[in-house]
Amino acid sequence: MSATLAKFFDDVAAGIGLGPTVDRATVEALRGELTTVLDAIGDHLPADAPTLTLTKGRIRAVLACETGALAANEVIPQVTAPMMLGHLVDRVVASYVLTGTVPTDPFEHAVDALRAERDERAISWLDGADTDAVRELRADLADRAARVESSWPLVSSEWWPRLEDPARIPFARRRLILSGRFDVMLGGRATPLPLVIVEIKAGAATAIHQPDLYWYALLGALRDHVAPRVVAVWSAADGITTTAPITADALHSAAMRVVAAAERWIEVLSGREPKITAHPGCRWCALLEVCETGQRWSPDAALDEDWLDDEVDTGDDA
Amino acid sequence: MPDSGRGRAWRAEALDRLAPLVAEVEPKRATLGWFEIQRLLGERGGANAASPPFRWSARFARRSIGLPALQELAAATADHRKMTPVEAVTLVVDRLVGAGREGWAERDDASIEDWLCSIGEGGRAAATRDAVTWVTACRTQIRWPPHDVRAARDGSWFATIRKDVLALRARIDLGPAKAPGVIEASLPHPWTSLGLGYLALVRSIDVGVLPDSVTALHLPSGDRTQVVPTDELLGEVLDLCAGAISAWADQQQSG
Repeated sequence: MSATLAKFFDDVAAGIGLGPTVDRATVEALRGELTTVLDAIGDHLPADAPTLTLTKGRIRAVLACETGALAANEVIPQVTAPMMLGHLVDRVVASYVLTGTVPTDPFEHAVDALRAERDERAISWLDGADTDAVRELRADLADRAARVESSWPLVSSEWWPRLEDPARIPFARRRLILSGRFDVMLGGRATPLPLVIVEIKAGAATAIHQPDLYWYALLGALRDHVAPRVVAVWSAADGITTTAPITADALHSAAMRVVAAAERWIEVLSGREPKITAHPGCRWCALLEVCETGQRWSPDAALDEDWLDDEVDTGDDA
Repeated sequence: MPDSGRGRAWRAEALDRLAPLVAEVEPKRATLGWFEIQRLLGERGGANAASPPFRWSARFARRSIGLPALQELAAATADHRKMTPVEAVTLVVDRLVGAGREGWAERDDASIEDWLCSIGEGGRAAATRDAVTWVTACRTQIRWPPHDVRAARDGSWFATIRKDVLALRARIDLGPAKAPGVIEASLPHPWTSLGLGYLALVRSIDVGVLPDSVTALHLPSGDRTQVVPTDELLGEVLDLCAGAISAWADQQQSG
């Protein structure tokens, strides 16, 4: 379902478009089942392997292509301009949600935020970027900031907004961790409003992101013992909000996807030959030059699809 | 577990064991916290790893802004006033900025007031954002209202090992001292229980009384770790402290 963000907030406050309340007993039962399964799977992680941290990026990657996922796992992802734009947009949105205003100079504001966070990777990328790249980034951010101003309603502090809210759920004696970070979490316990998660995309949101919404719902339910009623993704590129009402079935589905990804990761980390599968992300794969399957799949038309996330997935958070 | 004189007994045992380790160290007035003890034992970056000078960041500032903000929220609840985490954090940040010195963010002795005053609106927005998220997580995970939030230096405990030479330092975020709590940004870890035992040991050396229990609240996972300071736990922690203080004393004596 797609809507404007203002309508989304109005609807949520009025109780429209929400999933049915998933009761606490259901959440606890799911947590219990997942713990049993992931503890057992995690026990098969090789003793000398580091803790396996499953982020949304790693889940998506291994389910798409095991070989590509392993290759990506061995390199620290480079900061790119689209990722940096995602970083900066997140900071402008955070500032807007807390103060109700878009900064006069969004770029300087967001860079000051990165400096206060001591995000050395982002800062060194910015310090090393050439003038044209920075000018383009400034222009893109100004465009997204204008969209924040035109799309976002004032978010009352009664929503108790939490921004960049981390969640890390350990299993198998900390050998396997589910990890993520909610861009915006609102309402829920201690407020009279429904629990809602909003994810921010600097680019366009596509169907490829749909499973991510359920992943966030699962992670929130596991941490807070309460399931969100709805998860939304807001795109700063086009201002469109896509929503996913959360049901018990959606949580179960997300849990099964996590289990499938955990099994695959541990099998390939234990030495099983990784499979090669063609998928829309092949064009971004580090192995594309030597992978016939990936080369065969990549038609030019696919280059227009928005596959890669605009977020930096360092393995700590997603 | 009621104290029944165990705190005094552990105080005597700890001082008998630890004070001789620093008997030959020149007076210098140092304090060691749990972080330094782990580092001296090689648990954090190696025993001899040089630690970079401390610098404030939005992440480090969460607790220093968040605890007074929790106090503001608790006071509002007591007074039947409506206050949200955003409002409480904004109040605290404005107060701190008012007492800071601009341009001091990168100095070794910068206070949080100086840092907040020096990082611009965007930097303060990041600090506010992280503190709001921290405060809201605490607010929804602790029994409300809390009666004893330990902001600033109120939560520090010091246990003198040898006057003018060495004290052990610990800090709690929530009272009472009989059942203190700490708020952790990390997941439960095998060292978590030892860290909570360390709090109990420092308390017993300081005042001769053991807490009944010590609890850590792990914000990222919503888990809790609670320990009762048993003799076994305190013995293990004392062994660790002795090992770390020996290493520290050796470092001091070798210059």
